[in-house]
Amino acid sequence: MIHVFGADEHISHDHFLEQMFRLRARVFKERLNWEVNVDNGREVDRFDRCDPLYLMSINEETGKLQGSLRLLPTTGPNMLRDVFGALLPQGNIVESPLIWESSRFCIDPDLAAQPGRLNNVTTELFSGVVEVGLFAGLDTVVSVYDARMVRIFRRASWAPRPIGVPTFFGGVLTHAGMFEISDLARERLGKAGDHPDPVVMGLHARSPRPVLNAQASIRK
Amino acid sequence: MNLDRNFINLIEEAQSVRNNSEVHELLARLTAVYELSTVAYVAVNRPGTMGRNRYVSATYNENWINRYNEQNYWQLDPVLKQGFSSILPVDWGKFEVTKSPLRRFFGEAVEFGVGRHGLSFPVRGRYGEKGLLSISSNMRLGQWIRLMPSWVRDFPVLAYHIHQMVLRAEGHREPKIKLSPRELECLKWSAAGKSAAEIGIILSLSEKTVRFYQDLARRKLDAKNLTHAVAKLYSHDLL
Repeated sequence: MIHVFGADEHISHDHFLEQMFRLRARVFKERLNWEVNVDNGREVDRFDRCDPLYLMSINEETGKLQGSLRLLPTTGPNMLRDVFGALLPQGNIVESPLIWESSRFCIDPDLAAQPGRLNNVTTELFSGVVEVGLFAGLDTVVSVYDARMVRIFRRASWAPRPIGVPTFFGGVLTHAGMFEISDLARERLGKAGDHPDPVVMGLHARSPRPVLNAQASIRK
Repeated sequence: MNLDRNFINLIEEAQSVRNNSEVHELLARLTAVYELSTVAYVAVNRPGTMGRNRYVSATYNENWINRYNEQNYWQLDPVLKQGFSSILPVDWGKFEVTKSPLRRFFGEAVEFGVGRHGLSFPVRGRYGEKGLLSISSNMRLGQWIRLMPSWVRDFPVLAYHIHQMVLRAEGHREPKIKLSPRELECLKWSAAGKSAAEIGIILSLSEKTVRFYQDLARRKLDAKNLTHAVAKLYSHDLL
């Protein structure tokens, strides 16, 4: 299941946050060798201090974190604008109450799928993004990613619409793209990864159920 | 009730609002158009205020505002606590109100004319400031829930435009030249006499990335070369 943590829940979920920062250090520093700062085995950046929303895939049997990502509104501080602004044509920015940014997507390397196969945790996290996006009234999620992710998005049937021009950052060819948030997108992800039912825990407890079921009328 | 037309009108009106009494008028119009009981907007950490004062504009009756301040409900109000830390819409109906201070708080709110149902929509701003637009209603629960898709569709957008409107009404002006923190850092170290390679070591970036940021900053500043960009950094008071 996907657990959603906002800043108001940090204290009660300290244990999972700790696991997430360690996983991020392993994935982004050790495996991918990105230019990220790791302190005490934890990868934390300034956007983690902007009260983002974290989505975490947690194994219900073991209680272990399997993967995570981070959501930030594009109206506030975000990576595309503040770090990767060069990906967009000069002077262009993405800033909309209907668009959030996803970043720091990672999966526990021990759970990595066989080559050519899609990891179930991946589609579960993507499905979670769509569910949370529908809940918050979004129509798009924007993200910055590297070439390795392009294939994964395609296999998950959640291919982004590329924006801007791919650019090298710290030796990594970096892309930006817009991802659809819709019932249809959720359905396709569900089929790609076998998640017919809602994957996000406790979203209904935050609001009456009709919020999630009335997506058809969300303004396009 | 053609809400779409009203929705667009409200956003257009918000864009021409110039002062705080017009902010209040717009919130009152919003309350009427959506047939709500109350609308309130609160912002914290606005640019230029050093996070000291909060901005409040609300259609609550004065007695409730006085009561709220007297009792210092700023500390207790769970809507504010959640709305300023999370980015998800907050449904007031989902709070555990069996504990007596909270039950009393929500009970009093209703006595003072706040609706029994409420939703709050967080806004995050460009400068790290935060806003929260709250709506409340006394319509029947069934209708309130039936209209939930419209609330979730319209109000995150309205909240964003109200936020921008308040920044303008409060006299905030967009800085003409905006450098990202990285661009600024890379340029500052040049101003301190460091080479791109040295800056790379300091900021744990590759030399190429440092040059890249410096070049972006140079273009934003409309400077001919790095030295010119550094000079402009000083003349535009961007340090």
